[in-house]
Amino acid sequence: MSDAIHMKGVRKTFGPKVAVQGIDLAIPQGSMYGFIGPNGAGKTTTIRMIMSILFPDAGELSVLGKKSAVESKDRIGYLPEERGVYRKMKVRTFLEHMGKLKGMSSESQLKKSVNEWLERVELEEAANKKCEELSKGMQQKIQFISCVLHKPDLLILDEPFSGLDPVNMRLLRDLIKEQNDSGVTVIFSTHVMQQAESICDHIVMIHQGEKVLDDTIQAIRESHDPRSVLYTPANGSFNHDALTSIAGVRSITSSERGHEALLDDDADQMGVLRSIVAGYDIVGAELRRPTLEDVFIEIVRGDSEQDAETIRRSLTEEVAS
Amino acid sequence: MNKILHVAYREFASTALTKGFIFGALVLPAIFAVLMPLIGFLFDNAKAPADVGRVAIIDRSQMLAPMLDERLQPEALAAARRGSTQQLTEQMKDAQNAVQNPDQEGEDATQQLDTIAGAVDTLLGETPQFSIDILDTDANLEEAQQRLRQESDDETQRTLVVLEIDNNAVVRNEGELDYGSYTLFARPKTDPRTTGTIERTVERAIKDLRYDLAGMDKEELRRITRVERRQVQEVTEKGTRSSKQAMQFILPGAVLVLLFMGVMTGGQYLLTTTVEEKSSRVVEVLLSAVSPMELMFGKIVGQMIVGLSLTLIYTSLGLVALFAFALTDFLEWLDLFYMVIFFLIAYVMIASFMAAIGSAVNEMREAQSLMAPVMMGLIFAFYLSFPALLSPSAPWAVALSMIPPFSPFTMLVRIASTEPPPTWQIWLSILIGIIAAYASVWFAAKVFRVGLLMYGKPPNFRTLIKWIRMA
Repeated sequence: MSDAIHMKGVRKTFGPKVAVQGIDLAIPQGSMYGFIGPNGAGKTTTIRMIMSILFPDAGELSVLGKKSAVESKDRIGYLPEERGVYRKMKVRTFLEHMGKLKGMSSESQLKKSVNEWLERVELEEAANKKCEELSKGMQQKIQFISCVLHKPDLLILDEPFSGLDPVNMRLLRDLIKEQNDSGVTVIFSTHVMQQAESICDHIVMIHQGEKVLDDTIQAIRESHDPRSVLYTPANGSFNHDALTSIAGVRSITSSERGHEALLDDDADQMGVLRSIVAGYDIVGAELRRPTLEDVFIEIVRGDSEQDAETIRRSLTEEVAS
Repeated sequence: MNKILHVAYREFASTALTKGFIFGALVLPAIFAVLMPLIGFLFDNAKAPADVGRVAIIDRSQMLAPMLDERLQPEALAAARRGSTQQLTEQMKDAQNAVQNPDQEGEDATQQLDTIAGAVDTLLGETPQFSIDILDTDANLEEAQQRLRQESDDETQRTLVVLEIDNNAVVRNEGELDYGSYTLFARPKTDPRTTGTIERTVERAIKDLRYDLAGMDKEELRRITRVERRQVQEVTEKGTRSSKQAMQFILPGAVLVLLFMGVMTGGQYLLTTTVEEKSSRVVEVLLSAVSPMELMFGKIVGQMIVGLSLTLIYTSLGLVALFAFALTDFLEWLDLFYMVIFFLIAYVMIASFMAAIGSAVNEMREAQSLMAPVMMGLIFAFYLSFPALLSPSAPWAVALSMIPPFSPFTMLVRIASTEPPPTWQIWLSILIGIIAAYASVWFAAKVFRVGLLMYGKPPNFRTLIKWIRMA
């Protein structure tokens, strides 16, 4: 199966600022890819180049087998980060206009499709309202419909969940999954790593314009296994240092995640876990699974400590917001 | 192409198919069209109530008072008015020619226009009902003026006007060449038609007396001094026709205004919709479906149809008027073709800049400083074309008609003038215009592509140049 997107050495600069530097990427058809990275990492610029809204200064890029997205725009659904609607336009008119721009020539098919989608997202009553009368979340659903109305082969969603409440977030996540299940290649970018973790099967991490990670979730977890056991003591007088006597336990640490026993590289993780549960007064213990955030911080820490802190703060702020 | 048309249609529909636009472009002129005759009708029928009151005369010449007493009586005024009406038609005809040739006999023309104005005044309003008070020839003017300050419940007792006639108004003082005149003192806010009636009556009486004393036959004198002025006849291949020289200024002037209006309207709307699309952040959604070029061309075409529609609506109204007044002789159909061509050139040039500016700014307020040079260029082009109405073949007019953005305006004026330029000049101007329009689109396309996705600090011209290099 050919790749939906193929990039080789793609580079983009804005004056002196290098936004994207030499990205190589191959996204197979039918996959669900997550672009993650902090704000300003180069995700949106990469996506805009894929969409031929911006053009690379150097490198090769093909989308759905064509040299540029311009040639296959009607097969792509795109929800940009900076999204909006025609405020004064009625919802139905807006969707029909976008459908026509996406090459839907059959008027009856277009109307039918609009009605079906409005029903799906429970906005059928909003069809004749002006876009400005809708809430931000409702507008976002309308924008999502405008991306999928023409049954694209490739769906690119830039920060699709921002500004949504948990209910609508779940609805949108289900709709995205549904699109992917039906064979649509989905790429979405987010700076909220948990979202990517929960929905994607493949992650591309971008930092300072460079691709720093490109792997499946499973492979990332395996290669970035923190080799530690999280445990919860039964009482406050628990002697943490006692755990270091277990073979394979290197040290004990406490953080916002809780108490953690860090293991030697060659330690038997399951053996250590069993020893902790059997021999000590604890109410819970588990092997720590690496989060994308951990992985990301680990990677950027390689660059410089200051960077890692900046990124951690940025990620924490974004999650909180 | 299909997408450009979709964008163009949306642009046209969102601008022209709105209540505001239809009201402004169609309903408002229609209301005016209905109102104008109505206003005319009301003017014709709005006869002011007859002025009733007294006219005090201090005749220092001691010769005019009896004549004025007679001529200012209601019956005499009514008779004079009937006479004026008869003269009006002929005078109008003469004066029209005089206005069309202002340099030739300007003084005469002004005099005749005064006569017409007087006649029109006479036609309006009921005949005044004056009572005449002849005061002593040596009466004190101050005391006489005091009458104008006195109020009275009985209108017939109220003095409307005090007329003081100079002692030498009819007979010159010894050793002087010039005659004296008269002064009219009136209450504040006296109807000008009333004072006008008195003035004309007094002037005519003075002249008649002067003629009599000079032993001249006043009727014969009028016949001698009046020369019927006939319209200039233009000799064409088909024969001769009456020249409507005023049309030679009105037509190019109207074409100029229409062109300016169409270009301005389309350009302004283009700017507004582009800024709206950018500020509402819908632009990137659009860019996922169409390329920046398709979007820009679609918008330019859409607003071009708006501007062209508006221009054609008003042109059609003008044509209807020309047909109605049987003035189609003055219409060269080829000129209409040129009008459309030059509209397109002027519009594309201005619209490109408007699109570029619209894409570069975040809101309308920021557009003002960038728009200023474009607007100045357009306004200069518009106003600099007016002198070409009088000198269509002057070297500067020829030069301006070749240099964009002046060329569409100046060339159209020259084409519609009495001295149309040779065809090669017109087509050279069109060629230069097309090249300039292409360059404008090229410039706009570069800025548009980069500017649409740029938010934050509004750019200056240096930034725009940087964007062009970047794109």
